[in-house]
Amino acid sequence: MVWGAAVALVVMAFACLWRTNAGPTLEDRILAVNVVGTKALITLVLLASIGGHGFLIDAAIVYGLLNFIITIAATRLIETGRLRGGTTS
Amino acid sequence: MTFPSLVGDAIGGALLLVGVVFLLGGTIGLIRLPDLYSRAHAASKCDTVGACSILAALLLLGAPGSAGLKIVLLALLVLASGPTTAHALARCAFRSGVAPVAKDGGEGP
Amino acid sequence: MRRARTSVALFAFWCIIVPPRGILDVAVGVATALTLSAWTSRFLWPQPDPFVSTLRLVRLPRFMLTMGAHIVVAASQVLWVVLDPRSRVAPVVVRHTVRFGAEGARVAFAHAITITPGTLALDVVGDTFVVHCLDERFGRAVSDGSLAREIERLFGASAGP
Repeated sequence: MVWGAAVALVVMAFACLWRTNAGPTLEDRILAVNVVGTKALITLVLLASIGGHGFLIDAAIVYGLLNFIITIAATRLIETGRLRGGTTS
Repeated sequence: MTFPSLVGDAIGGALLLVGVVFLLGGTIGLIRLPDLYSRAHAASKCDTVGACSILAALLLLGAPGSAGLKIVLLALLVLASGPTTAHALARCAFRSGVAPVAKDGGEGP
Repeated sequence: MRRARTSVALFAFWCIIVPPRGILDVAVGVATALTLSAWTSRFLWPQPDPFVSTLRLVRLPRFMLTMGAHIVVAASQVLWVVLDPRSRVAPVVVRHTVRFGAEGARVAFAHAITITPGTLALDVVGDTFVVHCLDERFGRAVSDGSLAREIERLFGASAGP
């Protein structure tokens, strides 16, 4: 059952990759990458549950944090053209 | 953290199924909806709920070792980051002038 | 004080990631937490401390539960829209002005908009919230002020129309 969920999630992640290729705007692509990241995170936790590998959950936490930070940094870069400095408005 | 009973397994399985259905909805929404803002709706809500549901299911089905606390932490992370990233992306697109598909013709920032 | 709180939070995070088995683990954890809190204090807390009263802390769990219920309803609604093959979304952008006393209330309101069914906060300019609605009927929950009252109840600040 858990295996089925993991396989379904991998298939969905590949389906989301289509949007990264087709998205008309840059933001579409970033959103799609973010969604793929969320699905990969859940897949990692499912794999950890199947095999009993606790370290995969640590990898999932790092994955989630990176996913969040990358998206915020990318939107900020698009919006202001720079990464350093004070907050906007 | 393990909850080795038939009821726990049944609830866990149901939550797993619900989570997969919500994530499927998020995926289809990402592919099917017409513009970035509508897609952000699907990505923020369906994915967050689906992910949290699957994490709760894994908590019920029994997590290895001390992983229960980590899974709770992960669920909080997903819950906080999902709507935030969607809002950040939507604001970024709105400020850079991506017009929403709207009945009133759309409007700029 | 702020740095101390950040250190404690970071150390708690460390204890979850690495369940400490000996004195060495604890020592490395404390050192990491102190270094990181010193390094991040530069950009993590540029503004003065927000005032968080005990009453708000008491009300926070109930608010989070309400929002949890909201997001499940919202996700079901989006699921319904997505999976119905005949549905055509007719998105509208509405502007809504609410005056909140506290800065935190505006942030909470923007998040609450994103979490309620069919609405997504696009931008906040001053007291005006630009909201994207999947359909016109979803926008009513925002504009009839029921959501603003919930936030107001949490923050105890005045929320005029």
